[in-house]
Amino acid sequence: MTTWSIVFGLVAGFSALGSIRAGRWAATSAVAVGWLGLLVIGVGLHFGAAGTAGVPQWVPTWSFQGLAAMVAMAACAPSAVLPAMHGGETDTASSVSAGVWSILIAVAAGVWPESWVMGAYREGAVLVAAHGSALAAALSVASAAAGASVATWLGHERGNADLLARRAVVLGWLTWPLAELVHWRIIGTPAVGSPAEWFALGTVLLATGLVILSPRDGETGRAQNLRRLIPVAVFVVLAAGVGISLSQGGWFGLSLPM
Amino acid sequence: MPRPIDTETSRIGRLWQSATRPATLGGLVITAGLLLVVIPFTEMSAAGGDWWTSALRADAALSLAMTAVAVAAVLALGRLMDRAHLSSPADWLGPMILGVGVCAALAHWVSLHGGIEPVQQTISAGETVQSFDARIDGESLEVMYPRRVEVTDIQTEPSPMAVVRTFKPGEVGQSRRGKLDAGASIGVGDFRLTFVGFSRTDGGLEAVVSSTRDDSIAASAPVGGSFTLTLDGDPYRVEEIVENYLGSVGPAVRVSRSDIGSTWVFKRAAEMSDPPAFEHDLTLETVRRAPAAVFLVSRSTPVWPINVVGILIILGVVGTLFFGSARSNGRNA
Repeated sequence: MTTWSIVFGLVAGFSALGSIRAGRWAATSAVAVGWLGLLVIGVGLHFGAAGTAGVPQWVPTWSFQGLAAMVAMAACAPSAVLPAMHGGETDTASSVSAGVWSILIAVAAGVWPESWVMGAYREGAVLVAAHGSALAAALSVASAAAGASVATWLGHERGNADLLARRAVVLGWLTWPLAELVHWRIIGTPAVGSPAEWFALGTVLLATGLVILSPRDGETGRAQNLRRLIPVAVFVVLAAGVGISLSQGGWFGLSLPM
Repeated sequence: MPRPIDTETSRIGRLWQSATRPATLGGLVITAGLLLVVIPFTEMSAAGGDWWTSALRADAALSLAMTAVAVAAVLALGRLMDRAHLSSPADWLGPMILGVGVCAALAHWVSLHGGIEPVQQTISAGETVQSFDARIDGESLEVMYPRRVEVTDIQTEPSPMAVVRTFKPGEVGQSRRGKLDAGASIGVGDFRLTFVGFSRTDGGLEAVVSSTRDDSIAASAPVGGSFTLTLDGDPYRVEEIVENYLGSVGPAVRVSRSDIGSTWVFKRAAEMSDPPAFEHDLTLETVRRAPAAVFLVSRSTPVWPINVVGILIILGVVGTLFFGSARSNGRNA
């Protein structure tokens, strides 16, 4: 597990270096700091609930190792924001790759033979990290989309808000197979059908529906102008979904007590 | 004079255009999303479960939501076929695969609803169970295992592990054993028991006993278990453990061995300045709850649907992010 943390840390480091070289260190830092803050809150919630009567006593090392990997991978998440922030699509392909491929590598680690990562539970921990990273990426992109949307609505030149909102939803859907894999490796069934699962699927479906309603190119008028704020609504839906899940004491979409 | 056929076709065409508008598709998906978001709050309090581990059953709402998604998927496919010639396959192939993956994921999730809901079962070390309390469509029901399940040992250090044995009554010699790490499973007929953690509130009592002899060590054992305090000593068998002997004496354990027979060992005796003389040299250090293994009992499900859903969504995500409409701006297929 430590090895995986180092690998993901290196990937994150190279991603951040690439971003800084591209002159986007401020955006990278802002999003990364924001997400690390959320992770700190998550750690606090986790240990706050530990030992509560009726909650099975989970393996203590799981939280440390899983969260270590999550911190390393969450640093990759901002890279998913970068490609479209300034309209440049091709020169930041490497940082997109770093963010997305780190998630895919973690998926591969999750389905690798058990001897590699020492047991089903720790495989599950790697996948929890991947799930968190995908979610972090989705919310980061959604936040950038919301910002671009407001800037457009206030009269600035039209940015990449719709594109970013679409990316956010795509990354949001990536969390679902990861959630199924997490459940499979930790509790032995792909889904429980818990309220956490209902709520997570509903949240991503809501965001998807909003993105579908985004105005098409060339459409004009008052209603279409209002619809240009849809990326803001997408961000609000996703962020509220994560926030409400945390307030219920669980992680977004996972049928596991924290 | 019959009406021209093209008028009728045009009417159907207009209906089709209206049905495949983004507003219609988005409205259907938003309706499904709203249902799935709201139902946990309206139904959970009635069901009395918790947010993470209790299965939520609301079949009517689920059917409605999935119908909306299915209709939206069919209409989206129709829209895609109408407009495929307007853009290159690279633009729509990724989103289409992602859409198929999402529909497959939802179908798989729905297929796991109904029947026996996943439940947690706590089994203490040395305990044998032959059934579990299941919930089927909200009703409690005792479901028999096809084989008896015995937890023969539980280990908390250095890494958590439960040793499980399953056997049919009368065929103990043909039992199956499994050493389960945390997160590992064992199949019992159509059911899958996954070792998910420990509980110290539901476990049975265990006594921690030591000896006044210099070459001894402390040991613990539950009722029915045995322990040895010295390397060459015969084992003691624990016959009974009570938290408060006769309601006033405090914790006590009854142990037996061939040379001393059956005798009580009291914790309070070790705390007295002038303890009474016993025929043994044992000291009861404490009586505590032994950790019990917590299993999640679920129906055995094949793993291939997870792989199919995962591959479709990952291909869809990669195709969309790198090749599809989410790669660059200004393409609204």
